[in-house]
Amino acid sequence: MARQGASYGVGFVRKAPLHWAIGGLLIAAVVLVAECAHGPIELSAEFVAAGASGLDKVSPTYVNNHPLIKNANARQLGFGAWFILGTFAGAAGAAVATGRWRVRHTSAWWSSNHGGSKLKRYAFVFVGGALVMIGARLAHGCTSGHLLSGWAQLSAAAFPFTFSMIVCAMIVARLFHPEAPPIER
Amino acid sequence: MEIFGLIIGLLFGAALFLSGLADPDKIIGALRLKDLHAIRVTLLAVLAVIIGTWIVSMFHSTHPGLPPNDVVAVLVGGAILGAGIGIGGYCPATGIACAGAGRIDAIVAVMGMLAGGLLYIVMYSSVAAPLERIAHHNPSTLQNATDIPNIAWIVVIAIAGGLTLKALANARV
Repeated sequence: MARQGASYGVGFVRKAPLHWAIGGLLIAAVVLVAECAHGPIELSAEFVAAGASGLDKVSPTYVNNHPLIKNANARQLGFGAWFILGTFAGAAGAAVATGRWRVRHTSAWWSSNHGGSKLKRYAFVFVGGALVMIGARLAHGCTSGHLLSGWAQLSAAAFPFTFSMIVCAMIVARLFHPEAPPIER
Repeated sequence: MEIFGLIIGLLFGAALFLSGLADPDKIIGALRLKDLHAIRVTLLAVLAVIIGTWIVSMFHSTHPGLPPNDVVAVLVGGAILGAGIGIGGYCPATGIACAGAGRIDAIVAVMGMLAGGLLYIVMYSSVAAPLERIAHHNPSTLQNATDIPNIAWIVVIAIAGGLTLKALANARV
C-alpha cells in the first residue's frame, strides 16, 4: 500500500472489486444493451421531473405557467425512475455479494483533508450534489448522458461537455483535496 | 418498459460498484491523478461503447437521443457539474449507486441533487433559457457538425484512446 501522507485520515482507499479492464467492458456492455432496447442512459432529467411533480402538488398554477414543466410529460416519472431504483438496488446487491456493504459517512480523501466531522461532509456533499444537478440540466445531460451515451453516438455536445467538466473537476478536486490518503494498490 | 428499466438499472448499478466507479475515493483519486483506476475504467468503457455502437448499428437499429448542442450552456453546465464532482466525488449515477452501497453521505448528495433540480426549475427562465439561446445548435453528431464522416472520427478516437489507455495501463498509480 502506498502511503502518501495523510494528516488525520480515518481510512484508506480500497482496491476496486474488479480489474479495470473487466469493469470498463462490463459498463460498456450494459450501456449497449440499454441503447439497443431503450435509448441513451440519462438520469438527471428524472430529478427535475421529480421536483416538477412535487411542485405540481404544492402550486399547480406555478407549474402550469412554467415554460419548462407545464407539459405533463416533463413531470412524468417512467423508465428513468425505474432505472434509478434498479441502480440503487444493483449496487446494494453487488456490495452485499462482495462483502463490501458498510454504513459510511465520509470518504478517505475527505477525512484526510477535512477531518471526520459528519455534518461538515454532509453540508459539502449536499452543495456538491446541487451543483451537479444544476450543471447537468444546463448541459442537457449528466456524466452518463454525455460521457457514455453521448460519446457512443458521437454527439457533438459530448466534446465541450467532457472538456469543461474534467478541467473544472480537477481544479476543484485539487482545492478541496490537496492531501492524498493511503491508497491500496 | 418499467421492468426493463429496473433490470438495466440493476445491471448498471452492479457494474458501477464492481468496476469501482461507485466510490468517491476512486473519483477524487482520478481527478487528483493519484489513483488512475477510474480513468482507465471510464476511458475503456467510452471506447468500447463507441466501437460497440458502431458495430451494433450495422445490424440493429439503436434508439438515438442526442442532446442539444448549445455550446455555451454545455460548457457552463459541464463546469458547474465538474465543480460539484470535485467537491463530493458523486455524479447522479454514482451517487445513487453509492447510496445503495451504504454511504450515508451519498444519500445526502442525492438529496442535494433533488434540491438542485428544484433550483434549476426556479432559475430556468432567468438563467438557463437565455444561456441556451447563445450559440444554439440543434442536436447533431460530430459528422453533422464537421462534415467529417463518423467512421473517421471513430478511427481517430479509437487510436488516440487506445494509445492513452496503453500508457495509463503501464502507469504505476
